[in-house]
Amino acid sequence: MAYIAGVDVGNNTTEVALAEIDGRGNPRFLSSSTVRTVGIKGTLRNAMGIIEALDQALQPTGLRRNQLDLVLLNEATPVIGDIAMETITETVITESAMIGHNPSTPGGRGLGQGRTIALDQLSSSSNHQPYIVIVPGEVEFKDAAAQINAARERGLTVAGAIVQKDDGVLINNRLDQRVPIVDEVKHIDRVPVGMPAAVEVAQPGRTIERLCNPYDIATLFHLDSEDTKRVVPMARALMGTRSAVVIKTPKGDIEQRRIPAGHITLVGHKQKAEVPVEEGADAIMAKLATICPLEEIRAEAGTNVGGMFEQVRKVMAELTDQPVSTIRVQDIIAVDTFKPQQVLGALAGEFAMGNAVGLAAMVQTQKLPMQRLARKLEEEIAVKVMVGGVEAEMAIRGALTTPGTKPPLATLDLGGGSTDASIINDAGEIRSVHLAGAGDMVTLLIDTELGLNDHELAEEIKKHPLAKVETLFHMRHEDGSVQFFDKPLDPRLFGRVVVLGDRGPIPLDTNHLLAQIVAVRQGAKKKVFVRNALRALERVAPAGNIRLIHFVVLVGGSGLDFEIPKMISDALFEYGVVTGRGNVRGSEGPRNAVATGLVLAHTQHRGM
Amino acid sequence: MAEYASSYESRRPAVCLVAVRAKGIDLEPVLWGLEEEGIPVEMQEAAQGKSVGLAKEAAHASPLNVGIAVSGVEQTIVLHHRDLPADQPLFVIDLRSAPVKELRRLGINAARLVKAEPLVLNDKVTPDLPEQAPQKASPEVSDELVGRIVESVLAELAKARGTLWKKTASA
Repeated sequence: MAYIAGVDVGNNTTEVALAEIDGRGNPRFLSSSTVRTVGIKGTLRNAMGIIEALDQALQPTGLRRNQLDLVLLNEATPVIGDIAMETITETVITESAMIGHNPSTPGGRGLGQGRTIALDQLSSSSNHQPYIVIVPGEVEFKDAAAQINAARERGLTVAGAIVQKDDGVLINNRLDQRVPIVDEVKHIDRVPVGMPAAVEVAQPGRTIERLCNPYDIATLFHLDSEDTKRVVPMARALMGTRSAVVIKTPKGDIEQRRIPAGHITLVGHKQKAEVPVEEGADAIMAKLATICPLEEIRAEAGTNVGGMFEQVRKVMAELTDQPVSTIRVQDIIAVDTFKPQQVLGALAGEFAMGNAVGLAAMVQTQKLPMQRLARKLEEEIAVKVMVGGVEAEMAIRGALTTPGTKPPLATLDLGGGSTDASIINDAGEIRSVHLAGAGDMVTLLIDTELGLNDHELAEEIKKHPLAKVETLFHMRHEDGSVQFFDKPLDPRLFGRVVVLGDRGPIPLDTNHLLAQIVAVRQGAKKKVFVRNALRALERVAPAGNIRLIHFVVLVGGSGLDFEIPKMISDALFEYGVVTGRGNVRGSEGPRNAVATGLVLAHTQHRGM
Repeated sequence: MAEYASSYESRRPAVCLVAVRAKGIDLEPVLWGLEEEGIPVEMQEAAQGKSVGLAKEAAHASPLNVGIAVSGVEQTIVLHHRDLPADQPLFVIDLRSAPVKELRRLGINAARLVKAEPLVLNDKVTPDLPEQAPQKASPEVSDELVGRIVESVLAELAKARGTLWKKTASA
């Protein structure tokens, strides 16, 4: 009788399957464990995580480390990915010419048009043209209202107001005649005086209609066709807001410029193609699909893409002790996305959405130094350590322990850095592929599109469903169901969209509606996971035809995600493929496939 | 149906504000906060009582389930909700140390409680002073200043998170 442990060191988790081998070489699995991987996969630091995982697996069995006869390590696939975001358009508004934002409570409603004037100039002004009054933060709302009322009594027309503090409703309520008022304008000192301006406030539940339409702006400010073209980015930035101000400045110079984002060169066996990143994700992916087999992807030096490619290659070179020149980027995935950008000269800190391309690149080398890790581990735990079979093969063996499966079968492992697919045919032959782009890229997309600048928070949003706290005692989940609580919820959560993380609800400090955040999250997962799942399966499928695969088993951590399995299943249903989350050994769910496969491979090998 | 409606006609939907011996206290900022958010308020006087208890009663009396009580004796102002346990008001503000801004914030929060909108828990949403001048060339920032800012931000974060739930930065 012997005790052996299969150990799978992954990018994110280290998993162990512990088994007892009887005299005839049949394994009986005793326990399993999962811990976070320590250090980058393939480095000596992994040993710490492995020891912890081993101890965790040994604990329920009452065995000690030195009772183990053998530890099997996976021959980790040396895959490393990196992600980057390329901005391809940028809205530049050099002269402050607009305010479009969503103060929670603007005053009045409708559209007002006139020349901007400072509040304290109102009393000395006698012109009979309409005015838009600028109210700085020092002025009390009562004084502001009184001065506007006085001016009107003298025959002046006040058509609207721009207010620094959150006083819009208070001022409006004290006016003899209501006007639209935009408040909470941070940089009121930047509002130019004596310029034609228009203020629009939409009624509750609606968004502005006039100032987000270039032709309406042209009508209001008598613009010619050239000028109208130039206000388009501004009008676009104002779309969807509840209130807005547009001010015509003489030098108002608004342009949308495309930033040179560099080229990507795809080098195939026989062909070579070049795609500018700024042509967008679809163009890149379409070109990529035509170059087959692909040998290497290069990026233009001195550009952002170039820098990112260099980074990936450098990390990989250090990891494997090989010269950088031998490391090649072998796959990329490009995704169209949006990136909020500060509008230059904006008056209320508003931003516009610029187009961007997200890129994940992947490098594959000969072999990670797993032997080195095995030796180090052997020293530390005084148990024989061997490097077992190829990861993809082990994953298939593990996945085949899922009840209801048989070859031919494909596994799909959606990890953090890469998307891996393997297939086993009736003859027992295994093919596998590793593609760039997986969980980390989804996190990046969520982070950027929501403008969070908080990787941890984006990660939480990716992993957990959302809810809206509607009262102090209940929240409504994103599926519409309501959950009540015995104790009052934290006031910080009140009225907010929260992520239902493992450690409790996390309030999101954004103005996004729950549905918008859900759309961004699901969009990111579809753009990366679904696209990559199809891409990966096409590569391993017989004759590149996904229809010829009958069973697809999802393994790895993403198989546990609350919505990814359904998305993949929906996408593959069209191809008539049975898709589901694996259930390794009938008990482990999608986890532990490789660790289990290591043990099985070892015993079967010996038995033969 | 009609009778049912009429019996409630006298109860205008409003936040209920009860004052006890609060002659000298300027409650206007609270009312402004409510007004800016567009929620009506009804004021009453009480002869005696503790502010927390009165606020709870006011919340029960309010058709909007939100009550405020101010006491000149205790020098406190309390925001309460009908559903909260009597001894657990949402906010208690000491009038002796509270700036006007904080009273207005209490009014805003009373209104937001009604509207189910996020509460204002710091100065972020009420910019009542001109913020830093337009950022031209960045002013000289010493490393020490940056260090101090980082420290205070971290301290605030730790406080905010630590009391809510133990959120440790998982790597």
